[in-house]
Amino acid sequence: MPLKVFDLQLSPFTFRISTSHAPLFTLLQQIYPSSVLTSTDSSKFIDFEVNFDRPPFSLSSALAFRLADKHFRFAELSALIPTFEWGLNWCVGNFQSRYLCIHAAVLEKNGFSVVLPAPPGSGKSTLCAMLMFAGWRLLSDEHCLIDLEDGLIVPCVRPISLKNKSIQVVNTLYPDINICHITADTHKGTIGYVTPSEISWQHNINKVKPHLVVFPRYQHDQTHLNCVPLSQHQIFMQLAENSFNYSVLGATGFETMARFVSNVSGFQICYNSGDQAIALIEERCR
Amino acid sequence: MNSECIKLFREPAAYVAEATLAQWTSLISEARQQALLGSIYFLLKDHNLLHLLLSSVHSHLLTGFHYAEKQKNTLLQEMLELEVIFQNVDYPCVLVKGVGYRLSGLAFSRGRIFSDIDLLIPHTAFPDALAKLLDAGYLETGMSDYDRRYYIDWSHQHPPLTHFLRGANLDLHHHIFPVASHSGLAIAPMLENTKQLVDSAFAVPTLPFLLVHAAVHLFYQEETHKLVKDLCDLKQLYEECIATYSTEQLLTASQSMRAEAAVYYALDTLRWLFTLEVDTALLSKLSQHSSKYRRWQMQFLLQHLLSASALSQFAHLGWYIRGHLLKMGVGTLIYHSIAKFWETRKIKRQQSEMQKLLDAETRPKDA
Repeated sequence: MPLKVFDLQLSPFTFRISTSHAPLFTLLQQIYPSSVLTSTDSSKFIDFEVNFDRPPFSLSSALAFRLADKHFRFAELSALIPTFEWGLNWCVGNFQSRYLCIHAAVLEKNGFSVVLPAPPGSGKSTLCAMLMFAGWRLLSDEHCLIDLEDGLIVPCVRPISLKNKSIQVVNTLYPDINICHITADTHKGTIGYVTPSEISWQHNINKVKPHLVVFPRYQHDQTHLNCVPLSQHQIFMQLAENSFNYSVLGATGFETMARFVSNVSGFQICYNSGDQAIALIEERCR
Repeated sequence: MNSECIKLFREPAAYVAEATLAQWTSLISEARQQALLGSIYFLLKDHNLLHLLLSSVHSHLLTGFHYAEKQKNTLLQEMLELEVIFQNVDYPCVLVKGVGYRLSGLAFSRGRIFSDIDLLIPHTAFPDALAKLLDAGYLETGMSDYDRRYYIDWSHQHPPLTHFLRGANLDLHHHIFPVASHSGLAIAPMLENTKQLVDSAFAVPTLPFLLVHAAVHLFYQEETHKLVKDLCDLKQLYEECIATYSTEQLLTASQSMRAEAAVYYALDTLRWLFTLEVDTALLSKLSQHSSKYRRWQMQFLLQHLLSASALSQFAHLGWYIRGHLLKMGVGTLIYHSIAKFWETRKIKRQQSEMQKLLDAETRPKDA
């Protein structure tokens, strides 16, 4: 099968994808606009040359996501897009240390930013999607990238990944929103993707100053929103815990994190209403 | 010659001035695969060229720098553990290859990534050193019976050891080349010509002996996946060696280990690949032990290994056979090849199944 090669220009990184699975490009067109999903551009430097293809002599239809000689994982054709998206996360989380990388969603509105670090199942992506629908600009649903030089947060705009019940929640609250590539039975359960808002794509190179860090926890039996302020050292430790490359960066990582934390306020919220959580975040950003 | 890394190491300033974006893309991709990002970072830093780079390219080199720095700290921690284990032994404990370069303070080792700690000790002390390491928690990891037997009967080292808690990898050697090779390489001079590390149980070979080891490793190896890295290492090691030691000392080291041929082929290759100036008198003396056929064979294979020519797959096979023939006789090679073919086939099938199971049952780190 001939290789199809195309670029994904997801500032600050450009990926070049080589695959013999022709439908991949069309599938990705549903979640990436033509401004970022392009034919190969020889005038661009490529950060990550990804091979998403069947291994040589393989009898299986599964594709392997690889970066040079490093294997990420196999993808059955039924779970192509989730594996592809996780593969991009793997590249950013493991093969760059230009930015301190924290597992968190980041959004911005009127110059104020909110960082939402949280473990899976905490409702981070749902809250992130709701904030975006409320007019916030999405910087990332997965990676809070902190520039080591100026301490600002760098966007890496990509689709929001919704999991399990959050798909139904978003469908109910926003019936006009199209959730693409809903894939059942992945190891994370059912996954679906929401494409970022127009404004998020348009401003996908604009950095923001850090302001607010919110550790969200969705609890269905929570009767009222519970908000606990966090000290700077609590924020530091929790962010370090959620970081992909804090330990690799050594002293630079410590200094970058310390500078970041000194510029933010943070709290933990336990909520069962996204609207209440959004109201609280907007109030703190005034 | 398609290796962008070799082009860069050959003429850093010219490369930085002239490389196209497509070349930079290939360079970073190749350097990531060869674990050369950190080495290139320091090479360009030393040539005062970092400020001329595209910020994206600089970012990836910086990533290599960060990983090398982290590995340096991890190595120091591990060395403190090893100091305790070997503090009172009465035999030489010599650190070779990557860790040897790093602990010798060689400039080119600053950004270098290594995969394990290579410890060379006299053959007579092998059982004691092995027992000490096993007692301290360095254990053999999963390996087939055939591979284990290969290491013990034919190679120059014990099967690789991994610390059960810290995950540190250690190779315990009693020679630098397989005992089955009948190569006649002498190991005693390398154990004798060392520099003791300050307040340490460990020593490191002097630079000429480190270079002889690297040359033997390059000339007699059968693997190709880190060939570019080995070549770039050898070039920088030679430059550092020749800045401190005379060519006569390098010749003496080569002669004492009976490794003149390997050193000749290695230096000849450096001259050819990197247009490096190598003392002609030294080459002339070393070449007396070389063979024109072997020299041609090595250059032919390297030329195709380092390019995307139609013959590159053939060259991989040729390099593999050549390396094994040097390591063992024809009879042993035939036996080994048949056994290894079945072994590899079985293992690949198992690994593929395991990988799929693992992928299906585990979450990526961000899950």
